[in-house]
Amino acid sequence: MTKLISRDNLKKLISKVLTSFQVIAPVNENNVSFFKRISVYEQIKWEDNNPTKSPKEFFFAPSDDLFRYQMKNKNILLREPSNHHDQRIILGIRPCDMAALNILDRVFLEDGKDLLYSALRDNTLLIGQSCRTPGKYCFCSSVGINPDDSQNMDLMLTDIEKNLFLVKVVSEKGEKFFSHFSSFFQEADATNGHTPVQTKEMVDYLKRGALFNVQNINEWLNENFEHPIWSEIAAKCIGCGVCTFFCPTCHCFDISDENVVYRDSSFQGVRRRIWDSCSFDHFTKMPMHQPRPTQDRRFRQRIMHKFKYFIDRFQQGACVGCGRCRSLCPVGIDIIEVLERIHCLSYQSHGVK
Amino acid sequence: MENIYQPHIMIIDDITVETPDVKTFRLKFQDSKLESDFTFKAGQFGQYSLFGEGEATFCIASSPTRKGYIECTVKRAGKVTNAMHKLDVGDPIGFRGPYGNWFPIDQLKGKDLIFIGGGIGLAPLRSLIRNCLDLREDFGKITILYGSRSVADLVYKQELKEWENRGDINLIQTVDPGGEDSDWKGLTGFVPLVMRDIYLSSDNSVALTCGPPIMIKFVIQGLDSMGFSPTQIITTLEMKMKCGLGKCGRCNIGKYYVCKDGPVFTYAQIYELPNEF
Repeated sequence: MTKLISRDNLKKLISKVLTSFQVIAPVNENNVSFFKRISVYEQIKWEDNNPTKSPKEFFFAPSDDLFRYQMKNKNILLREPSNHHDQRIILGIRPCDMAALNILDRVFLEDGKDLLYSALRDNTLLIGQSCRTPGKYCFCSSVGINPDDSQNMDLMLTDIEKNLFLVKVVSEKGEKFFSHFSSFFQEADATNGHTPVQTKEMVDYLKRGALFNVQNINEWLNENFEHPIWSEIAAKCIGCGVCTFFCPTCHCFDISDENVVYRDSSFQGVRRRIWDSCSFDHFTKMPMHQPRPTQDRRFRQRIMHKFKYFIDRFQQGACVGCGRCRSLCPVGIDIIEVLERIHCLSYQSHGVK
Repeated sequence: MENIYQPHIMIIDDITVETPDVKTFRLKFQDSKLESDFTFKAGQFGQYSLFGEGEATFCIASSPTRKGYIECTVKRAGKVTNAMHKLDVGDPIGFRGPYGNWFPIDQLKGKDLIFIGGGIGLAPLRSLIRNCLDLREDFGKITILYGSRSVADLVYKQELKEWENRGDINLIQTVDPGGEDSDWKGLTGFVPLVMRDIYLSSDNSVALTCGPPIMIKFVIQGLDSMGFSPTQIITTLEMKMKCGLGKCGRCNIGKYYVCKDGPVFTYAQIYELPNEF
């Protein structure tokens, strides 16, 4: 089902839903774009490109409470965390970040459901936004994602004129929302020019084709695992973890306790799940043993996990081509360049294209 | 539904001081329903909680044939294990598990079993050894080769004595050169070297080994030269873990998550892994 909504009406609609939903939308503060809970429509900043930070943290926060504990006289009391979840709308999520969320779904919902993540997914309506202009670092089309893909969204917006959005009603949840607020929408008429026209930049981006062959990549990585090129590639890596924290699919975490101790030595506290990174030395370090003692091995693990191990395990890769790691790496390591170099090695050794 | 990260409360029922820095804790569920419902298999592990300190991963060192409790053998090494060593009988502790796969005990039936352990690496093997001894007639010859740095560092000393006195186990004990004391009646020498002097037949046999990486490396070479195929050699891997559920990403090696696909692997599987364990 495809409808139209004018920018004015979208404003009215969001202002109305703000009274009953938490609304999370792209904003721009101090020249950084990110997703934030807004209180008025005017805070939203519609930009051509995807925000610097993905909405990952609204499902898997940098720190989440797992449970609370209280210890008194050798008695332990465990309590569920006081996570209260209002109904939420995330507005303006892009197809790559949506694909990333589906990757996180596989980790957190399959084979042992993470209740917190699951509750946050269930109470969130996702209103997507097509990308009309590719960002400088984008490569979603190289990993099989379309910049206007509405798959798994609830509703999808595509701006077709300056003040007009095409609205695709995708899921059942989206349909419910639409029928509740149908008066804000109008009928779309394809014969009336209500179809998106690709920008020249987008035509060029899509024409460029894949920057690497995603089909063969896990084989190239596998056969060059021990190649000395990894230490050359990763020589610059300072292990800061920016690539992993900004990656919309990276999900490695630590579990840690935080305490308040009282004078009678009773204490209470909270056990938390906290973002961690395979780039960090402590990630695999055990008291007597460190399986990945050098930065190049940790760097290689990140690439291998995204393009080989995750495929082995879930039959899909764990990179969505958002380009954030390329644009944010403080020493300019570019994942495309890394994959190209690995590809070249395979090509040189036996002509794999 | 269940919060997968929330542990059950267990109470310390007994503590055995094994070595100057190793203790074995016997734990019982606080909730009697949990106690009667709880099952596990030899080779599986758990996440043990010290509230306020964090969690640590240990194998279950007791046998599934002995019901009503679990045991874990803990070397004092980091924050959680140091705090654990200060606990007393009656203190509560958190437990999540059992996690991971197990020794393929059904496939081991009718076979000759060779256990090769080093130091605290005997802990996961002990779960299986006791399991096999409780069902002794299901298995062929049982050989246990166990070594540690010194006499003081041997774990399960009481049990080693019992095994020594049984007529149906071939127990060989050794300590590293310089680790013997005046009363030591066992052998002196590194486990892989001692192994070369014992005749181990690969015929209808399975070797199960756990210990420090350097010991395992040379044990595997030895077994290989004695004709053991990679599928006849089973080990349990140690990797840092946090969730135990295949989510936190920490124990990932190659296509495996040690917490889900392991910790028990045959050498045929391990040869396919990147050398990062």
